[in-house]
Amino acid sequence: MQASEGMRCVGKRDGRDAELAPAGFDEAMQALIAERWRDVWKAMPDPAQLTDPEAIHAVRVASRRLRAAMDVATDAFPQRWYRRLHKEAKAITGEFGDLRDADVMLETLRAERETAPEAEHAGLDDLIAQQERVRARALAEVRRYVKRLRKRRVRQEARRRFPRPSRSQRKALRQAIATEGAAQ
Amino acid sequence: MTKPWPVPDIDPDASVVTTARAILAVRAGELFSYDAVFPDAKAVAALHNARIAAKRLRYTLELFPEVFGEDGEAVLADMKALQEDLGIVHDRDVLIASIERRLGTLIDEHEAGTDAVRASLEIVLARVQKERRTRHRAVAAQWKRLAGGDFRTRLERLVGGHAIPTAPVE
Repeated sequence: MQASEGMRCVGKRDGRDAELAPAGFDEAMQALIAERWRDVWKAMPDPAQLTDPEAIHAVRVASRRLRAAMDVATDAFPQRWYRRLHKEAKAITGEFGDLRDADVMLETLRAERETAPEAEHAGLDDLIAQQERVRARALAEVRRYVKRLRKRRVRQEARRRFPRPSRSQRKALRQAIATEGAAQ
Repeated sequence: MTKPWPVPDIDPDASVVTTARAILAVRAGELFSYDAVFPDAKAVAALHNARIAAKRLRYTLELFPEVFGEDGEAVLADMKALQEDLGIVHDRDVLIASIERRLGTLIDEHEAGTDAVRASLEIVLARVQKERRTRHRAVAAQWKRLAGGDFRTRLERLVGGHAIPTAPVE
């Protein structure tokens, strides 16, 4: 793995995989954030496939996990590029929020409609119709956002700043953390 | 959404184990700060924030599984259950707000046929409010069980020598 500006190699000493010394926080976060960005892009659907509620949920979960990692690593990465990527991570969660909320609400309402007594049908049908309109508006917004995200080449920037460590490097890092954790 | 409590004095060169424990201590403090909120059925926004605090604690445990081991997994299971139940309360709150908004609009509209919808929505609202009360009681009981048991002791073991803060430290 080539070290890019602002990062250090994970699990390597003198250019080769090595017996690891206790893992530094910045090294560990470099690897963990790289993994979490990868999970976000893996979950990110094409704008055309944004209709699947499970896909929307997966992006939200992956972006929240990414944020949890980036939130605690700000001191380890004081550079401006980090702040920009951190902001992008927050934006992904936010931009998908309304659409996810609409999906959750629709799923709840439709499930309730199945079992509700007849006296509730008119009310639930009205709420479902309303929520479908809300979802359509939110979906249009997210489609525009995903297109913008692609145009701004955020994925390429994230990959450049947080290249994924090799499998052996990830394994070595996990072992080093586990060994140190057990020793303390 | 509330901002996470900052984790003071993170040293990028410190070991990941030490730092992960320091982060967990802050996230635990953040969750315990909602202790008085859990039994309060009217604290709609604060209960939602408590859910986010539980989620942040969970994500910290998930971020460093090698650090927290099996004890961490047990706390993780508690957090998943708490977060899930708080999520159901939140979903009920969102639905109640949505029905109330819709009822307000229908009163303003006075359109033909809206009387039947309004009457039906009022029935739905009464049912959802009742469910919300039941769900909230379950959450309050769950937290009481956690806080009254060894939950805090288990967390204290996981954070090592780090103190669990009672307020955010800048």
